[in-house]
Amino acid sequence: MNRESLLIALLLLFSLLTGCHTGERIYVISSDKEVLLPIKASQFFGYFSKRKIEVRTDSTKDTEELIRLLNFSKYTVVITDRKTGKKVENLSRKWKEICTVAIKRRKIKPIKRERFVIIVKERLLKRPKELVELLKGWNYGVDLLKDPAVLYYLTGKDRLKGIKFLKCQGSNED
Amino acid sequence: MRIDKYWVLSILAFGITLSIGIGGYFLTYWFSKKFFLEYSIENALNYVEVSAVAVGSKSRAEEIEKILERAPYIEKVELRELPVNSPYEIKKELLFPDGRLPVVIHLDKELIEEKASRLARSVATTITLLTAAFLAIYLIAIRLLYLEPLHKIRRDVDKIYRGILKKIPIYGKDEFGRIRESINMMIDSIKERDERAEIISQFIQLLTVGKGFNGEFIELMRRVLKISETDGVIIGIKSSPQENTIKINLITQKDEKELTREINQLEGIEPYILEIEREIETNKKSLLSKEERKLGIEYIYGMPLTVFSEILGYVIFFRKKDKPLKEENKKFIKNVAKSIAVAVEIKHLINNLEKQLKREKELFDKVLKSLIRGIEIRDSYTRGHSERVAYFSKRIAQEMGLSEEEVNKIYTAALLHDIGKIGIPDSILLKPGRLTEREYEIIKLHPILSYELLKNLDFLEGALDGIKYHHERWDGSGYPEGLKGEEIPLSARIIAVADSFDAMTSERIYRKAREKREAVKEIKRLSGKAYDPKVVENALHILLNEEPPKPEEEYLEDEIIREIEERRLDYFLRDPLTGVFNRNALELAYTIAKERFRKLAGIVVDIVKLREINIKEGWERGDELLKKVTAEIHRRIPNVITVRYSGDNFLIFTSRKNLEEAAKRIKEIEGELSVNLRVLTIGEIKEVEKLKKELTEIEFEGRPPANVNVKIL
Repeated sequence: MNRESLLIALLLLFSLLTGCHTGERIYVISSDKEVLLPIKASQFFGYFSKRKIEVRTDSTKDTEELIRLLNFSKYTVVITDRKTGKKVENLSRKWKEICTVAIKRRKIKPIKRERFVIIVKERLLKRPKELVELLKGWNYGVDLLKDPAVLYYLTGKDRLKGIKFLKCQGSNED
Repeated sequence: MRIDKYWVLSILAFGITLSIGIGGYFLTYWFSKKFFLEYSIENALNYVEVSAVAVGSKSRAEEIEKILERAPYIEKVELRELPVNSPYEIKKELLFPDGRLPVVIHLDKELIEEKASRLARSVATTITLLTAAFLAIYLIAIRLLYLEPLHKIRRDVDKIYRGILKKIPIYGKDEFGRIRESINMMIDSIKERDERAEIISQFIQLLTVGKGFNGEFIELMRRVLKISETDGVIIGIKSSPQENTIKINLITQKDEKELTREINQLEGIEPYILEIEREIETNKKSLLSKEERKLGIEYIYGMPLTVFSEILGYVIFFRKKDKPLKEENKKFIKNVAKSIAVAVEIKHLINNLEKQLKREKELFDKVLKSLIRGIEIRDSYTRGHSERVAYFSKRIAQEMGLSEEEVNKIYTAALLHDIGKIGIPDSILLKPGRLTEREYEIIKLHPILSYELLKNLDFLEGALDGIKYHHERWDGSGYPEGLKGEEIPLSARIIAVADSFDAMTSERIYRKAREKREAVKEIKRLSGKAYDPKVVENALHILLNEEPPKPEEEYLEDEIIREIEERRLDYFLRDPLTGVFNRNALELAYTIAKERFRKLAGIVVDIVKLREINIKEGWERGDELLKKVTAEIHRRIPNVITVRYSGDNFLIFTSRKNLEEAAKRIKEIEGELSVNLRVLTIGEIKEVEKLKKELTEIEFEGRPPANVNVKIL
C-alpha cells in the first residue's frame, strides 16, 4: 500500500471520528473598512467568543472587487452600500438584504449620504441562531462605539466624522 | 481425522478472516468513494471560485472554462443553465460586476471509482492478512496454552482409569493446576463415597448372612467412626419385635463391649430415643446416664432404627468434644443406620422364614412318617422298615454322586414305597406263613396302590417313579410292568437294593433275620440279575458298615408290639378253644420248634370217638374235653409246642430225646380224663412239607404212613 493510500485511510478514520463537528465561521466582507467597526468593537469585548461564534472580517477597495470576491463561497455576510447590495440581490437570489446599518456622508456629489446595508447569504439565513447573534453583536458594537475610549482604542480618534452606525432593528428606513 | 472443537474454531477463524476481508473491501470502497467524491467536489468548487475571482468578468468566461477543464477530477465544464442529475455533477452560480454566469461541472467518475476500488483492495488485503495472522497466533496460543494442558489432563485421567496412576500430578498454580487439584479432590470424594457405599453394603451383607456383630462388623464400624469423625457408637437392637430385651454394642476405636438388657432397665439417651422415635442431636449432658457420661460423651447424634414404622433399636454416634458433625457425615450416619435397620429387619424375616420352613419341613416329614407308620402299625413286624430303607437309599444315592434334589426325592420315595400295602387285605398281609400264588399276586399290587394313592400329591411328583417301580428287577423279572435294566428308573433301582437288604436282615414271624454279611453276599450274588450292578457296587459298603439311625420318637414300644403280636397270633394262629396253634400256624410252630429242639420229633394225639361224644353228650362236653386234654398235655410236658391241626387231632413238637417219655405222659391222661387217646410218635421231623403229608395220611386214613418214624403207642 502506498503512502498516499495510507494517508487517505487515516483521514477517512479521522473524518469518521470528527464528522459530528458542525460549527462554521462567519466571514463578513465589506466594500468599506470603516463600516466594519461595530463588529470589531464587539469582537474586542469578546462578544462573539463568549457565544462560541467565530466572526472574521474582510474588506475590498471597491464594490466591483467586492462582487468578484463574492464568488468565494465562504462569504455569507456582506456590508455594502445599498446600490451594490441591490445589485448583488439582483445577480443572485441567494443573497437577501437584512437591514440598514450605517449612513455615511460623501463629499462627492450628487450623493451626499450613502446608506450601508447588511445582506446575508441564504445559507446563513438557514442558521438563524448564528445570524441573530451576529446582528446582536452588531448592535452591541454600535453601543460600544458611543464610548470615546473604545473608539479611540480601535481607531486612534476621539470621534468619527461623517458616519453614523445604526442598530439593526427590523426595517429602519428614514 | 476427528473433528473436534479446535477444528471448529479454526474453520470459524477462517470464515471470520474471509468475512472481514470481503466486508472490509466493500466498506472501504463505499466510504472511500464517498470521500473521494466529496474531496473532488470541494476541490472543483475551490477551482471554480478561485478562477472566477481571478478572471473577474463574465466576458472572459471562456478563460474560466479552459482553466477548469485542466483541473484534476474535472472531466467537463459547461457554462450554461442545466439541470443536475448525478452526484458527479456540480452546479455553480458565478457573480461578476457585469453579470451572472451559471456553470455546470462534470466530475471524473471513473477516476474516483478507480481510486476508491484500489484503496479498498489494499485495505481489505491488509486487514485480511492482519486478521489471519492475529487469528493464527490466537489459535496457536489456544492450542499451546489450553488444548495441550487439557490433553495432558485427559491422558492423566486415562492413566487413572487404567490404574497406572492413583492421582493426577499437580503442575503450577494456573487454571489447569486448579483443575488438576479439583480432579484430585473429586477422586478423593468418589473414593470416599465408594468407601461409604461399600461400608453400607458390607453392613447389609454382614448382618443379613447372620454374622451379627462379629469382629468384621466391629472393624467396619470403626471405619465408619473414622470417616464420620466420631469417637464411638452405641448400637441397641431388640432381640425380636416381641421380646423385651435389647442387645447393646458399644464400639470405639480402641474398645468394644456387648451386653443384653431389658428395655425397661435402659437409662440415659438410649430409652429417650426409643421414646421420642426420631433422630436427636445434642450436647446436653443432662440427658446422659452415669454410664454414658463415663464414656466422656460431649456430643451425640443418634436415631432410632426404623423399618416400616417399627422401631428395631437405636444407633447413637458420639464425640468426646462438643463440635457438631458436618452435614455430609450426618447423612452418611443416617444411611448406615438405615442399612443396619434394613439388615436387622431382613435378618428377622429370614429367621422367621427359616423357622417357618423348618416347621413346614418337619410337618411334611411327620405327615410322611405318619403315613408309613399307618402301614407299619398294621404290620408291626415291618416297624422302622421304611425309615431304614429311606436311609440306605439316601446314602446309596449320595454315594453315586446324585444331586441333593435327587437324593431328597429318592429319600421321600423310599419312605413311602410300601404305603400301598394299606390296600392289601390283612389275611394276606399279616399271614404268618408262606403265601399262596394267588395271595402273592395280590401282594404284588402294592407298588401300584402306592402310586395311585400318592399320584395327586404335587410335592411328591419326583418321587412317584421310585415308589411305583421299586419291585422291578434288573433282569425284567420284577413287577408291576416287568421293566428291564435302565428302563427302570434309577430311584427305583436304588430302593430295590435297600428294600431287599432290609427285608433280608429283618426278622419275620415265619423266619429269622439274616446276618448283614449274609444279606450283602446275597445282594452281591444277585447283582446284574435282580439288581443294577452299579447300584450294588455303591451300596455294598454302606449296607455292610452303616447303621440307620433309630427313629427319633418311639412310636411302637416293645411291650405294645408284643401285645399286638399276641393278639394278632391269637386271631390268626391260635385255636380259640384250646389256646394252642391252629392248622394255619403249623409252619410257624415248626419253625419255633426247630429253633427250640435240636433234634425234632413229634407226637400225634387223636381223641378217639370225639364225634360220638359230641353227638351223645353235646358239643360243650366235647369242647371241654379238648380243653382239658390240651391243658393236661401242657401241665405234664410244659416245654412242648402244640398244634391243633384238625378237629380232634393235635401235633405236639418235642425233642427226640424226650419223645418216649412225653408220649407216655400223654397216654396217662386217658385214665385221668376217662378218654381214649390214640397216640402216635414221629421219631424224626426234618421237613415241614413231608410232615404235612404224614399228618394228612394219619388224619384221613386213620393209620400211620408207611414210615418207620411213626409208631403207635
